[in-house]
Amino acid sequence: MVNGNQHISALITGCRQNDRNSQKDLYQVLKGYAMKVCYRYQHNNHQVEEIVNEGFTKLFKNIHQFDEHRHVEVSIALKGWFKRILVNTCIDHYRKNASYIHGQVLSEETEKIADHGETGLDRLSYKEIIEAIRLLSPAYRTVFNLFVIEGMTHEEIGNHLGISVGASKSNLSKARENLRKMLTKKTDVKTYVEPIR
Amino acid sequence: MSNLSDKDIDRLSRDAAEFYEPDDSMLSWSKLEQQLVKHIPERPPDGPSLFRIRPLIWGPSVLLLAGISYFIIKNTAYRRDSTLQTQRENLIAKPADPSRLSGKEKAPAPAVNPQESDPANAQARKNNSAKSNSGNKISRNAEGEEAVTNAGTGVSAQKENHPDRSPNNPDASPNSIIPGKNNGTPGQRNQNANAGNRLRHQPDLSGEANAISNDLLSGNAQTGFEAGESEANGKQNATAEYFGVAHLPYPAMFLSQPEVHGNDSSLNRFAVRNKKPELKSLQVNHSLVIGLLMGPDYTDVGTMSNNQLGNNIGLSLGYYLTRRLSVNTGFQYTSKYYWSDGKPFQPQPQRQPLNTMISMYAPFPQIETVNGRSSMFEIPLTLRYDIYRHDKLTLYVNAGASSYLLRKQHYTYFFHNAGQAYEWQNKNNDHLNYWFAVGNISAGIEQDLGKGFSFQAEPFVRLPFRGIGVGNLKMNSYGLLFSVRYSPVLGRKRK
Repeated sequence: MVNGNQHISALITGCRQNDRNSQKDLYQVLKGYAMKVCYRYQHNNHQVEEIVNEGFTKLFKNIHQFDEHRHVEVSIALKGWFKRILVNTCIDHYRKNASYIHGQVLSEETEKIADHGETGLDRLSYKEIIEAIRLLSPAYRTVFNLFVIEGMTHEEIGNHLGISVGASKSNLSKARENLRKMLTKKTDVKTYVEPIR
Repeated sequence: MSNLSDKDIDRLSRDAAEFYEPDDSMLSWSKLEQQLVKHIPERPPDGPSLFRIRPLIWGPSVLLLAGISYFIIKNTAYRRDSTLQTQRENLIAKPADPSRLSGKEKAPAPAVNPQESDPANAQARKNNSAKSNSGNKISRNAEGEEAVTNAGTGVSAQKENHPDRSPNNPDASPNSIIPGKNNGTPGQRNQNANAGNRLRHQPDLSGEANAISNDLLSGNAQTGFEAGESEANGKQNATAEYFGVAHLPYPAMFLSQPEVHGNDSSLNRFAVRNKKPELKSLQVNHSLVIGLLMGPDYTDVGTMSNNQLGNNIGLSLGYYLTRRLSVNTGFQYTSKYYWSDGKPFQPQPQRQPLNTMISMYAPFPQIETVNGRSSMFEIPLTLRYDIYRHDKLTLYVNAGASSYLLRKQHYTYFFHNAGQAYEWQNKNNDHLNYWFAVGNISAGIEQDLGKGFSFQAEPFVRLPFRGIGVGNLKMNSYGLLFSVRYSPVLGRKRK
């Protein structure tokens, strides 16, 4: 672990000097983690990639703000810091596109997507759960991710997304209900599909 | 399945978020690299640390340099002043040491008034003065020894044994003192000092006051005590007290003044004492000014912004043609950092012969941006005019032209080829000289620090007359020069 920390510290030092090779190496180390964080916030894979790249750009721009000497486990600390960058980037994307994605009409295609997970709760895979989360509408999905997975309060969510606490609670409740239906193979649930732009 | 609670959903979702690893093969470094090139392009390698002085380093350095200079100059001036002050206090406080007043002191040769160079004339004047002073009795021995006794007070008796005091010696006359000069040998000064009332009838005695003041400064004032200390009379010679100021503090000196009993020459005492010497004004030639300068330099080419600062460091040389107008030059090492559009650096396609239908070489990709660093020597030639002077502060404007002696160029080209972002480094160390390539306009403020030193801050703008370097770029430079300047004394003359 010490060697791992030293390696990460060396990469961070190189990134501070804007060294492309160090940036590339750090990217290889963190890209899976970045993908994991951003994947559940976006349904569209292209947008996931866009958010990940934007997150890395922010990371490299602001890497001088990260003090690895304050942490015993540099890798974990860096991931925690990077996760905040990624989540904020996802929130920015949501807010930027909020006016566009609100009010989208769900199509029949979404019902087909929801249909192909026919396993029971005990046989649900992580992939199916994550894919189900991704099928939620952006508002439900974002609130659900921030509250359940990131552990934010409704006040914090309201501040970040620019919505009221009541709207946050309502979205969370509806997200859970939709998720429950999807996971229990309620085929009549209407899920969200990303409009083609 | 239908009894899936909210807690179950949350738990399952958290677990999935933690353990599920989505396929990240869609991510590619090349796309991110393009973004990085656009947003945070790779900086060129730093130059030598000596010349790539960052603002956080040169700023405090300039302040430190200015502070040290100011301290040294002020401290030197203070020590000199305090030494003079101590000498004065010692002169006033300490009584004269007779052993030091033996007439062996060295003094500059006396300047002899031509009118007094005739011994006969001098003697006649002495006699006249003796006659006119009816209250005094003057006796003289064969060796030039003279004793002046004030009949009214009966206090003065002086005795001198000095070869210069011969009656025929023209310097023995008090009128031999030339105003403005430190007159006479010690014997002469003794005579001047001891002559007492004999001196007071002389109409022009400014030289005496000058001699006294000069003696105070040079420590020669004690010479006037010799006669006053004479034991033959056993009395304090008030006249000697008057001229030998060091014997008593000033108030005591006034208290010890002899009474005036109808002696016309004595009436002039205060007039003589209060009469200020007519000093000639001393003109010091400070025309030449040399200086050490340094400061930041911001360069832009066209409309592209720049996030890097260059620097200037060098020497300056100025010469005042008139009181306010000076011509200035210097020799500076300048580093300039800039961003440019790629067009000026785009290689021109090679001309192919007419019968060649297909070029042998693929065209160079379109260069998007260029990050450049140029190191050069700069020789400015400017005229400076001091528009405002008050106390130790001077405001001035400066205009002229600068020549660039380009020594090193380093460029990083940014371009895309086949969807990939590339950077390409290019160096050029050719020595290229561009005479009067830029116009130089500046204004500044100069603070005199004393002892010929001064500190000045000078914001400047340099506007291009022509392009320089590989890209033939017209560079605009802005910056601030801090200078410590020294003006040596080229000469002194009285006017």
